[in-house]
Amino acid sequence: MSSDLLFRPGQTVTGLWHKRRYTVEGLLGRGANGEVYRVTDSSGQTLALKAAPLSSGLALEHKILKRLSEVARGADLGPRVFDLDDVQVGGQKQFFLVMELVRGTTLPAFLDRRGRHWTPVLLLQLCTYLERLHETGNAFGDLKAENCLVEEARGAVRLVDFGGVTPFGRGVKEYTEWYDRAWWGRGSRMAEEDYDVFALAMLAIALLAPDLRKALTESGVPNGSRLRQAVSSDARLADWRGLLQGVFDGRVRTISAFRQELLPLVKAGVRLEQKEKVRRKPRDWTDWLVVGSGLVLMLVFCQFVLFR
Amino acid sequence: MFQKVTMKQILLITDGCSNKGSDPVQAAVYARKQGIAVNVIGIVDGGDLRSAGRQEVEAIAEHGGGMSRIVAAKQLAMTMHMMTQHTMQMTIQQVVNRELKQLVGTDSEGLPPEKRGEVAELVDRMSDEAALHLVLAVDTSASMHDKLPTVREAIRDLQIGLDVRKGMHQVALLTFPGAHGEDVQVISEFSHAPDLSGLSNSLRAGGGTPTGPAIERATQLLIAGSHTPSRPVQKHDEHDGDMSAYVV
Ligand SMILES: Nc1ncnc2c1ncn2[C@@H]1O[C@H](COP(=O)(O)OP(=O)(O)OP(=O)(O)O)[C@@H](O)[C@H]1O
Ligand SMILES: [Mg+2]
Repeated sequence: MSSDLLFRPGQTVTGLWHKRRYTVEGLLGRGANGEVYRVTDSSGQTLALKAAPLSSGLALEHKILKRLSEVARGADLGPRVFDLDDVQVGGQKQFFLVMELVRGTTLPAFLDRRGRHWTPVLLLQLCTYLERLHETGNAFGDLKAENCLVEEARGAVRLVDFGGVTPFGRGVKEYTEWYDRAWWGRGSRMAEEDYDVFALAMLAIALLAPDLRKALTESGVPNGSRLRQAVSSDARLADWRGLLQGVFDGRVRTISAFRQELLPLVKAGVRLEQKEKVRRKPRDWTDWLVVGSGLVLMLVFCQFVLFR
Repeated sequence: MFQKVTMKQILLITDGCSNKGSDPVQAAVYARKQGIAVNVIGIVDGGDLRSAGRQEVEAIAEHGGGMSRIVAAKQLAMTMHMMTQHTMQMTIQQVVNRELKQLVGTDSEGLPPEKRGEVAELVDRMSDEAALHLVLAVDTSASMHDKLPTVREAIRDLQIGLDVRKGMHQVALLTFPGAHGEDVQVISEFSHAPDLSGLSNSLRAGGGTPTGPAIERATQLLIAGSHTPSRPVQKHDEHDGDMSAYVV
């Protein structure tokens, strides 16, 4: 794979079929399958454009995102999609998908700023998305920190990269070793509800104790006993022990069971956030953001206590 | 008709340049003519994969209609999974494109973008259901010593991925050089779950790297192994120009 980028800032991308024009503003990120750019369309709207050398992956992702927007019932399950087209770049055809730009921070950066006690709240929101997705008969597959963004002001999580979404009963399309239960020798690589549940648990560990991932995967060979040992002895995971062990033992296999175990942690997180609020008396506008997001946090929590 | 397609692949894992026996690029050209895709992974840590080795890795894959990647040992499992998966899709995509050309006079990319999702879904499903014959050819020259446990893990991991497919798969495993100084040794014949126990025994300190003979042997295995009623992809594909869609 070459390290050259397909587009430069200022460049115009014109679709061969739909003739819509987009101006490239900059790179948002790149992955194994493509490059994602921030672009503006002719009406000045800012959007995200994912470009790839193969059409089939993008066509599938487009199809899935379209279907999800129809069934999401108000939840922002995936980015909304606007266009799917081809473009000629230096004598070669490339393919692109235009979608809603998700403005957000990565999960680790968000937690660094706002505190680890936000972790259960973020996971609780992911539970809701995953449940909606599972209702459509699909697993998310490649659930990982890099595929989540948090809207800073509201503390609301969004999922990006739906390229790994796989119908239940099929082999998971895309996965990442740390989050993959099969890699850890704890089940198959079949798209099932509990495949995503396992990934959620591994996401919790990756967020709460980031150095563990590096330490446990360094050799390139999974070390399940060290993982268990870390879960039972690492102080940072103390409150999470029941939940994590439940997932590893197969006691927690559904999103709703995961959520049940998560609720006490959310409650504790909310209490901590309130204490912090009292400590830091609002002084400038950023403090109001904190207060605002504390409110969201309360609402999220109430939703699950009252409506479950 | 798609279920009857048998996808045939060679996956070569090496950390050095060939230095013994026939030309691996010629062997790859021949394999491709038989409707076989040759994928190559070059492992970088340790070993002697200098620029000559890298160029050879690329040339084998290019002429063998497959893909190549140069990776660190710890990325091996992921890379093997990705390549196998990707190559299966490419094989099916070719078959589907040929059908489309007959039916509507264009391949998938000639369709309007919003129509391609259906085709992509079809290709996805078919490559999950079609039979796969895969020969893993593992370099067991002395420099591979430290990497063999990782290779074994990676093969086991690939197996886990293949197990959830709907279609049948047959995997054979060969090493080059063999345990007794022969160029190639078949460690495990085609089977649903190849026996990996012979892998570490075949290490030859000081043995050369007969990559060409390994590809030839793998090709023979695949030709012999697909004597099933289901005929392979390349049926009316004798002129190899059509296979160019393999190249990534
Ligand atoms: N709609 C979006 N809005 C904002 N940022 C996005 C959007 N989609 C993707 N990104 C950013 O671009 C990065 C790469 O995108 P994406 O994960 O879709 O690519 P990929 O090639 O499928 O990656 P992967 O290697 O995970 O399969 C993401 O991690 C994210 O930071
Ligand atoms: Mg991604």
